[in-house]
Amino acid sequence: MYRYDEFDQTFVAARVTQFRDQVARRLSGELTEEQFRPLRLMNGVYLQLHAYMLRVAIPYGTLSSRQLRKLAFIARRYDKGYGHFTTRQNIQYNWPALVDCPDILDELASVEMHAIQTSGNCIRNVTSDQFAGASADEIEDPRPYAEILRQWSSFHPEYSFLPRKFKIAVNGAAKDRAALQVHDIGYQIVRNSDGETGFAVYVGGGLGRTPLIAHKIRDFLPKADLLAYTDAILRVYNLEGRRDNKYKARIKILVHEKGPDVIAAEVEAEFANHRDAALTLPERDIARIEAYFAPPDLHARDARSAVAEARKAKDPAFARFASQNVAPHKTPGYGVVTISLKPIGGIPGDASATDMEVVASLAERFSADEIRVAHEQNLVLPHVALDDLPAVFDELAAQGLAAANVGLVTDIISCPGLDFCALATARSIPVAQRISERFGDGARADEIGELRINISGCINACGHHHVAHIGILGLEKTGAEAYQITLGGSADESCAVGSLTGRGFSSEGIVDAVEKVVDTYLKIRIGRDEDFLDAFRRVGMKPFKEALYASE
Amino acid sequence: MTQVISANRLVDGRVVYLSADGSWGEAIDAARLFATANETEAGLAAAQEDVARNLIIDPFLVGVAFSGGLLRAGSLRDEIRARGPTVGYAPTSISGASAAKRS
Repeated sequence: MYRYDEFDQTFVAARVTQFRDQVARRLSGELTEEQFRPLRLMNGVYLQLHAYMLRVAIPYGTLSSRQLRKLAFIARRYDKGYGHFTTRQNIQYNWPALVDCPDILDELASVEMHAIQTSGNCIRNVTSDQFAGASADEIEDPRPYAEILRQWSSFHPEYSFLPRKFKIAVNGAAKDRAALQVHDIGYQIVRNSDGETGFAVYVGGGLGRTPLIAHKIRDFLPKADLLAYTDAILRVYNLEGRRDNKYKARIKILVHEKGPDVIAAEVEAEFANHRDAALTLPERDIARIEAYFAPPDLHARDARSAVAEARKAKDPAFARFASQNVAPHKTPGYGVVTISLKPIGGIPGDASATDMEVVASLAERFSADEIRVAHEQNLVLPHVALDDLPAVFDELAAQGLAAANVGLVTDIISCPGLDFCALATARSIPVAQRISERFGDGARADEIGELRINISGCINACGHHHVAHIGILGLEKTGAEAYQITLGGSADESCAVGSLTGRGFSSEGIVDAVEKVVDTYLKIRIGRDEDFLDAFRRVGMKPFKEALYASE
Repeated sequence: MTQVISANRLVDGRVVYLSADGSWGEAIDAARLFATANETEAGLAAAQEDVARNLIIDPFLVGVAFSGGLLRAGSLRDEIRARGPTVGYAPTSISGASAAKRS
């Protein structure tokens, strides 16, 4: 895991001192709200519906036990005893007092964390595959490159006032678990015909009010050129991105309006002018960063754990958890364990301080001291010996964290919605809770199989509804909440934006509508092997529309 | 239309309402009611003074009506601002000390 060096530590500490002074000047009236707002936002402090909200960066979703314990401490000491993990692999606190924020940032700095660049028109937290460095299907660990991008983009003077925010994701496995194609830049690690690893480069993806899928502008970028190429893309965007209209300012609009071929040519020209300059990454620097992400010392074990198999044979709940929440690890005898933050009827992504402490303790004893945050709003223990799985399961179950529903209908992504967010037009969490309860029966969810339901409470799409198999968008219509449904979206390597079914549904009607969609899928699927997305791609919208609007 | 004046308290961001005695409290039920344009204008002017005194930020008018014995905000958004999230968000295991700190 990357450790801050002296430079980072000094810089973050200086920033906290600066912000402490700014808060004091705001409280004394020396700074007006208009003057202070951009300063607090630069430090991750928003003003939401009920209170301030602090967004803390979790670079590429990687945490140590010590860091997670600190997040728990902050939740208990300065908030209401919980935190909310987001679709950007970050954590948000919903109730901090402004006067406490400098102390919170000091606490974060003590464990090499901060809230810098979690807001504003800058390069945001670089995200990645939550299974990075662990998954059996990985080509190469993406985190060293995410970290190189993080270091380069932190406080980058040229890119601190972009036309709009800018999000970069890096994925290292064949399976895209980082939703690359809905990011401003997506770097997919690939291997070329000479056996070298580098990046396929995707540009211009994004959700929000104008969902667009990124275009691949380069098949293979040598690793040494990662920063030079990123710089070229950002220079083109910084110069040509629109600043006259906030809603047309993202790079996706530039790529869409000028065309991906034109943008690719401009980026290549910019890259050609600068590729041999200071940004070329020396091999030794890559190796130095890679060393921080060296695989943990996992001693070889039998691929099949007798302990886990014996428990599976006698405990259906454990067997279900092992089947649904544990992914193959690259080291035989280990598994990647996803801890669902989606208990039936719960709030997606919320974790209490105690939950965090339990997970931190498990990571310390059973997962090489590592925890990951998934963009699906779950936590991950990346390196668990299968022999230890029963012990991990038992402790998770005792804390109510053993929901065996990863990837199923109840593993719902949801933004905070109108219950918390100042921008929202409708509530999302209660809809997620009601859907979860409707399908909560484990056998029914198992029968349905993999199904992604995502909910956003406004068109800004923080809940990623466009790329859900079943997406739900909450709007306000003549004073009441209304919910539109989209079908057929996907955030993985087969990325697609879902299609609107038709007119929306009331708050009372939305769960029944979702159930009709699910029942229709169960009727039309060829067999259990055909998941919802495959079935939708085969038959299209027609049967779903007929089921939803039959009575009209 | 009857209105109240709401804002966020500067020090902690909490939703507050202008009371009859000129203070800012968290309960919408204790908010001063404004019935006429002249009253609301004077109320907003007083609120702006409290902005200048660094007590509150972003004061605005909220349409309200009595329903079921309670003062209800006219929109769902303002009702959620007034009554808090509609979901049970806070864990019950929160320690007494930290709960007391924020109460």
